[in-house]
Amino acid sequence: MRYADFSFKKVLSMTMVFMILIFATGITYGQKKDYLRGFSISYYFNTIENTLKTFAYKYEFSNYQGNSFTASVFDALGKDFSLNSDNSGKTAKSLPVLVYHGITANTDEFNISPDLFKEQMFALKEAGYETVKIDDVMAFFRGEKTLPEKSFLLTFDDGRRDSFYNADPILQTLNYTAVMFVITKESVSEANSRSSFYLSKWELERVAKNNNWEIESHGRNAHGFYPIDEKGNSGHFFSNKLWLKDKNRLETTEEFEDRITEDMIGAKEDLENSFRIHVTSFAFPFGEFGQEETNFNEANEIALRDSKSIYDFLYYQIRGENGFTRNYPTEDSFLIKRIKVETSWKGSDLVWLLNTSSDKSLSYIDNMDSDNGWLDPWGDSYMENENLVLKASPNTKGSFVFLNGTYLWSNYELEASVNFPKGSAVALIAQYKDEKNYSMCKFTYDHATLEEKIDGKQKILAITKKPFDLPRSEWGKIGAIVDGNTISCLWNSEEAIPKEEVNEILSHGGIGFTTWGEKFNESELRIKKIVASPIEL
Amino acid sequence: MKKKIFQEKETINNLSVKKTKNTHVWITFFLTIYFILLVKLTTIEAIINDKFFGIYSILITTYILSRFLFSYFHGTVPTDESYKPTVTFVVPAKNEEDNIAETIRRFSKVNYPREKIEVIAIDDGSTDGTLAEMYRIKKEIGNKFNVEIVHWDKNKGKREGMAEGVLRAKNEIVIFIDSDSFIDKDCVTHLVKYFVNPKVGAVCGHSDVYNKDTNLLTKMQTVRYYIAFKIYKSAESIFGTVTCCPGCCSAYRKEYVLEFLDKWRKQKFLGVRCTYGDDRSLTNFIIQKYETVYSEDAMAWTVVPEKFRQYMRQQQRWKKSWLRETFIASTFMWRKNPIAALSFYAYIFLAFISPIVFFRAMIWYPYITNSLPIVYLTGLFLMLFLHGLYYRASVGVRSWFLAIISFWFNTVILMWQLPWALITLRDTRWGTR
Repeated sequence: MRYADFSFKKVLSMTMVFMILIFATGITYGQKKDYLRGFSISYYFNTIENTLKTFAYKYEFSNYQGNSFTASVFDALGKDFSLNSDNSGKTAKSLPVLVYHGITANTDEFNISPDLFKEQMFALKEAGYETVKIDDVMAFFRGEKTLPEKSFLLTFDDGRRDSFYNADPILQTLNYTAVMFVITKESVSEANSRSSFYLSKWELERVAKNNNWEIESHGRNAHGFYPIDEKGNSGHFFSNKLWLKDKNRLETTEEFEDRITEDMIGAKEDLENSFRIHVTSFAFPFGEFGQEETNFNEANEIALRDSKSIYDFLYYQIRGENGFTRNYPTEDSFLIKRIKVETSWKGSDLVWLLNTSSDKSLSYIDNMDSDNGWLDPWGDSYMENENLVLKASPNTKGSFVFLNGTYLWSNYELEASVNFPKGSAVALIAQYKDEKNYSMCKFTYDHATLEEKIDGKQKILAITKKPFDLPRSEWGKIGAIVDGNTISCLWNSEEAIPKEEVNEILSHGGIGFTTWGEKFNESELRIKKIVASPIEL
Repeated sequence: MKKKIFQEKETINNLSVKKTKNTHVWITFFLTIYFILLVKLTTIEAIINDKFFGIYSILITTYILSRFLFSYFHGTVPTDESYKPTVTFVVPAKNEEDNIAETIRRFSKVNYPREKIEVIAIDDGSTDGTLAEMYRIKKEIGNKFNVEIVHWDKNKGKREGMAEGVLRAKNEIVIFIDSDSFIDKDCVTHLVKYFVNPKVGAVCGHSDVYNKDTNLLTKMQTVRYYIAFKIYKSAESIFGTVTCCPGCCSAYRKEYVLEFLDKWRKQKFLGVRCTYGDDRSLTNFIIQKYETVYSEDAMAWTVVPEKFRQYMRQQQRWKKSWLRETFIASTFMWRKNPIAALSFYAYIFLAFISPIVFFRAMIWYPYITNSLPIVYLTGLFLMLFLHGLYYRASVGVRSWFLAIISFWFNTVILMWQLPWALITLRDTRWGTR
């Protein structure tokens, strides 16, 4: 290096500059590790990015609403979309709660793409839905406060970074709020604060100050699988007594209870001490609270009893179409069910679910010209030629549907026009609460029965033996009169089974239909009209 | 137009940049480096998620910061009063009636013994008054030293002109000066002082932009020229491996050039006769056996394109010659100083990868992940800002913002010329001057 000048002055000054730079960056970086607890420069990058995105999303949403390019540009520059266009003034009788897990480009069953999430939220906003905050939800379920008719609670499980950073600009745009259920082991304890998957404690401090977000508990260690027998099989935290390897035995009931209580209290303290917030709600990891397959039968009872004593409200999640999708302020309302939003749903699917689950008022007439919320826990059902069709599937002998949004119905007369080309029995469901609790009027070619199902146990309450001319090719009518907790069955508008008392928990409930056949994939029922009218007391 | 140029030429010596104390700017400069280092340290964590971008990011930062470091240590050699070799100015020209006279007049004003100077001006088939201008200036200064004029009716190309000059030269050192470049009076002294070392084959001077105040484009080029010489050539020069001694103002040892002259004249690449990038090509021949250095005290001013189209064509030509000569140089650079070689290959890698990184960061990645390229843009901005600050601090001109635009333009727009140059490498239509 003949042409380099390594004079003392140059080398010295460069060494000094070099030392100062290394020292300064080293100290700043060290600060980050030791004192700033997960200070994340990407938080600021993402914040800048999300601020810019909010402008773009406001433009997109305005465009989505059908505004012109110019109007959309103006909206992007500063429109506040919090003003709800729906001023019906009606109040909600029930509340739907949505749960998401992750928002990322790599989609699967639990991870939705940012674009689809945005589309779903746009569709909800456009349909007039607004989010509510957790305090309002509690007041609503305690009967202390009313909510606008089109309200919903938006929740995220696990405290994931992708959920927060991708959802935040959309929430900002639409003025929505969301609840983040945080796993404190992943986000609050120091050891894991460097994870790029979960929000760090440092980030959560900022989330806690963000008006669009609320933080609640998702357990401390409970979000995992633990050994439940000596063979090393593993199971969920709240459903099982764990295997204690050092003692070579399962936990005692006391140890089980101590463990789950400690976890729930610990998680609550982690959050309250770190972010100076009041934690009231707990989302069960994996949505399980001992109701699943277990090596300990009392788990469900104990888990619910203990969690109820620690938290005000408990959240779990439902999938499929087994029961009503909303929550009602009734005796059990500390336990909130959340709809797992499927990552295949379009915005219109989600709006349909929320619209059709809203409480239908009596009188109600359904001409079957569109699907007003018929859900099928088993078998198949579909709309065809302005008929609702129940069809046995290849692995069922029958089919079952109920109408979403009828949970609160009581004292009604119901009549349905049906055609029953194939199958051996057809039944009208009344007072449907869930798949384990309902009553029904059932007809076969030679008898009719009034049956109830309470906690899954089926019981025949009354029987009438006479031939019924099942409407194979023509249309017939089946019906029921529900009066308090009594019920009578109608065949072609004439009484087939006189008034009979059913279990008192069935004093209200929705409607549905079910069929059976002799063979798989055979039975078929078509319904073209139902009329439900209130009866005079 | 002609009149205006000559008025400006009167003030040419006042154009030399003043060095001013700019402590606060230098502090900002180092603060920016500090901030870059901090961002990079954080990026290292993200490498796990995005290896491709992470490695690129670290590599380009190391490359650029090392340029600043090396250039800081770039030194000069003392002037040896006893060493005064004879020099020949070679000026190939085509249609340069506006500037040629002044270019040659400058030779008569240099602080160098008159008897050791000769001038060879080649009129390469000009269709304007270039030849007449040459005779006019010969009449004016011909009494001081020998001015030889070569006239070709038909255009043969710059390379032939340069070669003709070398063949006719009687002196030890050949100094190529473009017909639109003007040298400082101390230029020769500072160029030849390096030849005292027999290993040195070529020395390139420092060129600034002459028409810098004409418009935004020339202002931008001014910044770019300054940094390209002061930082990038300096950094190469400390190892004696300057990869391009540009035709606007460079000195070659005639004896060494003659070794390669025939090969250089008849150079073919991919079966096509090379008609552009003559200077880079000649440097490449020299650098294989000898050292090439940069003399920052040997000042010259050159006229740069004033029209955008003209500028883009020039840049495209340079990119193509860069491609060709880099390919050739990559076959022997590994034999040079390891740091110089490493820098050389790293730069090739970065030049080819940057359009891909740009596309990925700005278009592809935002598209698939629905995110904005904030990290990439911040990194890009900080690097451009660093160059701007350097210019502001060392020149004292408040045009750091221009520097940023200039380097932004260079990074974001001209970057795409490289793939294009690769595709059109064999197309020589743009080869003529």
